[in-house]
Amino acid sequence: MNMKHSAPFIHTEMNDSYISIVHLISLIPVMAVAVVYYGVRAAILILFCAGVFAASDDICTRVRDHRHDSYLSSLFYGSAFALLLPPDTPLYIALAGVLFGSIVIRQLSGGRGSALINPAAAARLFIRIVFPDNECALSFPGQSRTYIRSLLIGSRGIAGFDINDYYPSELITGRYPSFLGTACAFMMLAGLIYLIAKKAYKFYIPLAYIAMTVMLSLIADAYLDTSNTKMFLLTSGVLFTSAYLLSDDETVRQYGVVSIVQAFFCAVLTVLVSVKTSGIDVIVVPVVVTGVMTGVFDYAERVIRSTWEEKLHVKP
Amino acid sequence: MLNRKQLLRFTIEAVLLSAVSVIVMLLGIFATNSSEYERVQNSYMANFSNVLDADSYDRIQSNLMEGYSGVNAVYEGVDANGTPVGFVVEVQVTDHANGQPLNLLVGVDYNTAQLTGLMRAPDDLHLSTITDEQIAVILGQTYGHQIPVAYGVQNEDQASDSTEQLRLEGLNDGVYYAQTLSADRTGYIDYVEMSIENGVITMVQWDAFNTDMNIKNRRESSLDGVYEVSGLNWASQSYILCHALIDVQNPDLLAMKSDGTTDIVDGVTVNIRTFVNLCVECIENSRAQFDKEMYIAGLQEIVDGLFEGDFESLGVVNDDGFVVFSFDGYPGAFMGPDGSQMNVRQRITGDMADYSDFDSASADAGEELTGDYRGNEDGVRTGDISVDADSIDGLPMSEIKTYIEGLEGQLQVTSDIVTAINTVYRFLKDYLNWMA
Repeated sequence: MNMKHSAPFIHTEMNDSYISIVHLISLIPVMAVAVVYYGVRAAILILFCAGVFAASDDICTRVRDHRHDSYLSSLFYGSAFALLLPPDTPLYIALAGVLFGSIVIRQLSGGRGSALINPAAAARLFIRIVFPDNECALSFPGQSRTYIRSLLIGSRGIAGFDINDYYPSELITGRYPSFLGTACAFMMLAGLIYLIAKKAYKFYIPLAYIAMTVMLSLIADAYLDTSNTKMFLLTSGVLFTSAYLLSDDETVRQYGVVSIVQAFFCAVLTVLVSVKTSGIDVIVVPVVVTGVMTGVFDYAERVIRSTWEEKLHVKP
Repeated sequence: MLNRKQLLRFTIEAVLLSAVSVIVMLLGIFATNSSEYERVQNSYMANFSNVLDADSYDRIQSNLMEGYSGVNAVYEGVDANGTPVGFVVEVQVTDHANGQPLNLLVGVDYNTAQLTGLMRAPDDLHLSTITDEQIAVILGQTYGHQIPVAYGVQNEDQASDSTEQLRLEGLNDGVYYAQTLSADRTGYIDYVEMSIENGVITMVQWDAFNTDMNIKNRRESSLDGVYEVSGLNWASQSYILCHALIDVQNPDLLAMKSDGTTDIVDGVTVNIRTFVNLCVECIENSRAQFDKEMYIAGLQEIVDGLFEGDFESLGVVNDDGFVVFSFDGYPGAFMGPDGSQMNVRQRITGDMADYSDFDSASADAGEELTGDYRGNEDGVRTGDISVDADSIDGLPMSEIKTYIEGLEGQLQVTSDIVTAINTVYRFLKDYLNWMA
């Protein structure tokens, strides 16, 4: 997979802990959105998921390798998973997702740096499949900030809202019922800019993903009349994908041509999924499939490279 | 690992990013407040204006909603001055025809508790078989009337239609009353009040007051959970039983068994002997034209006689005008000249004629009654009485304000829609502390 530690003779601050903590800090803007809009229950959900994910990873690592490992990336995965949840998700569902992501996806495949697919996205997809009713546990932002009973009993969901009724200013600020961290385009862009500014993420990956998504969405609009591209970009969570899921250096290649191909591939899947369905599927299914395909991309790259090298070697 | 300098830098960045994020969010909220309000009001206006006419609507957040599984959302409608004009409640009921949910919007006037509108909720998934036309029919029968609502009872036309063949002969119109002469071991004195119109029993109420006037009557105590019986609460069972009698028009047809219970009225598990006896006495009083006022006055006269004209000082009349007195210690008070036990009417009028022969009183009753309702032997049951227990929706009959015919031949659909209305009533009653 990808290189996790710099060689000892290369003096750079871009080590694993640095990357992990930058990723974690980049989530702060969307965490702020979640807490400002959904209050105490959002804060508890995020802290709970991050804490349990880190604890689970730590316990598994100690049991398997008899060593202690950095928990910063675990905190990131736990937080990212929480931010993909509906605001009124009960804790037991969150716990199920966290344990699936930590134990099944991450630890059973070898621990840190060895997972094939993004643990946060996989855990969210697991929740989507096992607890489908929980997808309705949305809530109107800005209401009931001190309400916490949903952490125990969930909620009946909300009724009577149509995303098309919302003003653009509300969509940009994320003031519409959505998952905890996928609503506010402005804040997701802020997180993305922070990641790029701190050199923890190559700018061309999200650019490739967003550009391809926009292009395909426009084509889909023209031929299928499925959605409004502007609305799609603001409300589907693709900005969350581009900022926080494709930036995962453990499951997605972060450099070279392959990373751009992966971004294109993920964008194609995103638009294809959005034609068929909506909600969390549009965010996590492309990322999970892209993660699974990473090995194929790596293999293809090696074959192509060796072929070219052979040609270049023979030519003189 | 991170060095101290990096840690400090990241800490500062995290704090700054958090602060900036929150500030930006708050500014965003401030900037979009008017847009949100306008959008929400437009949406409410589009959805609710047919249910409740108001200038604006505010969604109500109440913990009470947790206790009402059918109540999904509650909105308060206000006029231009901000004065409440009513409520719009989104309520979900089960369509018993297919078990699917039906979401309805129910509008209720703030001051009069009258129904202002009833329609399918905009977000209803149309899984129910109940049609908009059926909802409109119920709306037509309930619009402008006070809630809660019951159907198929106390309606003159329907009562006369459905009970034409069941009515007992010899009944005189009026309100009749009977109460037990001795309190039970918990101090309750049962009473039955019966209204008869056009020779048909149109209303029956069974309740009990306590000799300790500080204790609520049995119906209220059971609703408060203080008075408990097996099965449904006593108030509901009383309501169901009273409706069963209205349906069959003859207490004998309730098929009381020798242990005082009945098998043929769904939901009723309590001993109904006292109820049956008091109903029989009311019917006899009706035939003898001894109405409620005469009964109460007669009872006062008897108590007066026991205490040699010192009735007023006894303070045995409660707020409802009932004589709260147990004759346990006065076995001779109702003893006839031949040693037989008399009731209040017989004691007052001295008329010992037999008014109890229901068979002879009812002209060819055995032929007129349908086979489903025979059961005047000990628990004999040849069919079910179709008593719609759901129509009460946990509400005692005394609270029902409006009686409707419902949908012709569609009792279950009527029941489902009426349940929605009554669920709204129960919630608003709690929320607004109605009847406090």
